[in-house]
Amino acid sequence: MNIETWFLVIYFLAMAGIGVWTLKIGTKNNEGFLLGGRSLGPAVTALRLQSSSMSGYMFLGAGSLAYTKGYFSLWYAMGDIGGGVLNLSILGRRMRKLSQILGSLTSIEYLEHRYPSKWTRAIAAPIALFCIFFYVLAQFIAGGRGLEMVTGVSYGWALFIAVGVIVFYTFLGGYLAVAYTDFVQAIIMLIGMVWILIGTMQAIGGWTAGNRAVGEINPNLLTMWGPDGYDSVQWGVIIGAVLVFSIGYMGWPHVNVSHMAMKKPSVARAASMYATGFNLLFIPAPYIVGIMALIILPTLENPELAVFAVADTVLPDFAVGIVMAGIMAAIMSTADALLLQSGTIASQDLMQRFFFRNLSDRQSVWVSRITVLLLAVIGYIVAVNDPPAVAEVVIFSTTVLGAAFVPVYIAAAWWRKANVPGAIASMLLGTISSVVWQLTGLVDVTGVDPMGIGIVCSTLGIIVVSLATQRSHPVPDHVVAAMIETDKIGPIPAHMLTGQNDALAGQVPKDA
Amino acid sequence: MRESAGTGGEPLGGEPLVPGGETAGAGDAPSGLPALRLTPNITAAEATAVFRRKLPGARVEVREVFHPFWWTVLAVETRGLFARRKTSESRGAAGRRINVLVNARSGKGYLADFEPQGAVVDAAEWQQATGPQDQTGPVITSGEAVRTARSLVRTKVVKTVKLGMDISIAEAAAPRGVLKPNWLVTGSNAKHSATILVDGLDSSHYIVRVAKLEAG
Repeated sequence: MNIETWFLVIYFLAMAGIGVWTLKIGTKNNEGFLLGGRSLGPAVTALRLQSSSMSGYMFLGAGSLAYTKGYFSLWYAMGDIGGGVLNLSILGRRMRKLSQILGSLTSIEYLEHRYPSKWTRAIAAPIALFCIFFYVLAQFIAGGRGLEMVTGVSYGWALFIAVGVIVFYTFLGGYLAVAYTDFVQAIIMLIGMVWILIGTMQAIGGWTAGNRAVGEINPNLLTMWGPDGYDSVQWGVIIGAVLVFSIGYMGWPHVNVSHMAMKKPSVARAASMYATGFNLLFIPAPYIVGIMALIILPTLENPELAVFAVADTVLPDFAVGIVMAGIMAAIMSTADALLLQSGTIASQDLMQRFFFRNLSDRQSVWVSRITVLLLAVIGYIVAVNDPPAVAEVVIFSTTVLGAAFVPVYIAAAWWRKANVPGAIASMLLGTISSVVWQLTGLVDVTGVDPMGIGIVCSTLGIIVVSLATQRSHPVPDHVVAAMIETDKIGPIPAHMLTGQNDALAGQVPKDA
Repeated sequence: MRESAGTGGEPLGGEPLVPGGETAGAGDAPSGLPALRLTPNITAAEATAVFRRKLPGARVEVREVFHPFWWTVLAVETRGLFARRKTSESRGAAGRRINVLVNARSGKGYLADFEPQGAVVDAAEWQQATGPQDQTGPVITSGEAVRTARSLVRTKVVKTVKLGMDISIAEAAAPRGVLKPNWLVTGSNAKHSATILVDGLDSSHYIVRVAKLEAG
């Protein structure tokens, strides 16, 4: 076994150790398994949010985009850098408070409580599950490719090991395991990525020399307009690129669940500082490495492997091991969050809500675990037989998630007139428009990104339908009261909380 | 008194810390000062509303009940290695008079961010409240309540001051009995019947029992 593989083995064992540790402290009940007992502070909240958003895309998709399109790829980076702070600022505090008042444990359940109808959940849960499956599939492929490259074992076995480790600790510890491993992984991936960037800069003789060399290949690669220059610019695609990773974040259920697990609403403010710091350090790096890979490895067959291959070329063996652990961290932190979220949707949002209402906490946790296992097996079979390109799958699934859910999540926290028909119309219009736009090739014909179209349709849907149906479907009084309370800063009044106060058990009169 | 909101204070409730079951019988009178009956912040109508949020459309019956607590006031002083002594009214939790309410039945204590006020009750009423006929469990003594309160306050203060500071906690007033108001709401709608205890100070609730009706 080479030194890179040893580093990876140690890393996998450490992550699994965290899973076992949190098994003992975090899964006493559903609130423990799904939301870590709402106990997370700003650093864990922020880094968990960022690392689970970044995914294997940052190491495969970002590098590939940069390798093929040069500085044009930074449109995606710009959206990504602001995404975390936007999400925490717009949704963080309000979603934390509102979800507690409404007694929601999952981000889909939160939507149903805010838009009280079983149809809200019946529509939201399958859309989320569908997109999350594709997203997690991309992470599996990325993990398999990374391991294959580092260890030299075949892709099938590498994929099997990557999926096995991800499932192992997600399976054991629930949200707390995911949150703490994501926190550790965020730090590892930051170190890994910055290390590759430094190694790359040393190899090309500095940024200026690198840019000069890239300019000799194609001067258009140095501009933000793409390899074919300004004349070929599609502004619709650029707007979509910025949107998909900036406001798009706010529609991702597996990311938004971070807000609900915060220790208290005010954590959002400090968390956004951590998130911004992390983003500024981390996000530009894979794009710049991808661009500079054109000089270091000009004949790369698979652009998706640009960052991996550069790391392998410019870093010493022991460093490659650490960096690869960072890369696997990015992939695994997203995959485990996605898997946990899909398990949650299956157990809480579908099974318990529509089929077995009397499911106990224990049974519900097991449904989550079995779902995680099932998705992993299906994902493995698909990924091992006919793996699609990571960037395409990620961008497609996140586009649909964003288009379907961004307006309903924002309106849930901010707009008191947003009602059930508006929310349902928004989710359906966002999903259908973005999927149709993508599958029918309208992107190439119109030059407009499906994210842009999806967001416009879903936003118009929620505004127009909500206003048109205010009389027939008014927002319930308790939801309005909860939103008024959410406007205020400070603790939630006891009478607004759904859960009971167990301390009162000791005050029950004998004759009660 | 909800642990995280409402009457506030940081809840550091725990089991009575005193070993040996130094419990008193019914009617262990508050030492010195007569007991107080606290005025509820929550009306019967608000308690009914809490019940109806759980059981929409229920017909209810509301009864005011009181639960005995020991009210202890502790003065906390902290002193740094090189700093002058900080006393009451100075900054932070470590420089304040702290009110602690200790459940006279369960021995659990709560830090309160309010000064209990209410009507003075006679010894007979306090004895009735702490008597065996009304609530379950033995009544803890005022001495136990003070020890519980001191332990709570010490834990609270240790969390907020620097390591190495000297902490002193003293009783600022003798423990006094208080009767805390709650609302016992019983009712039913077409599907369920239930009894819920609503906190008379902060309107948090505890579901005592709930049953599905046959017809439902």
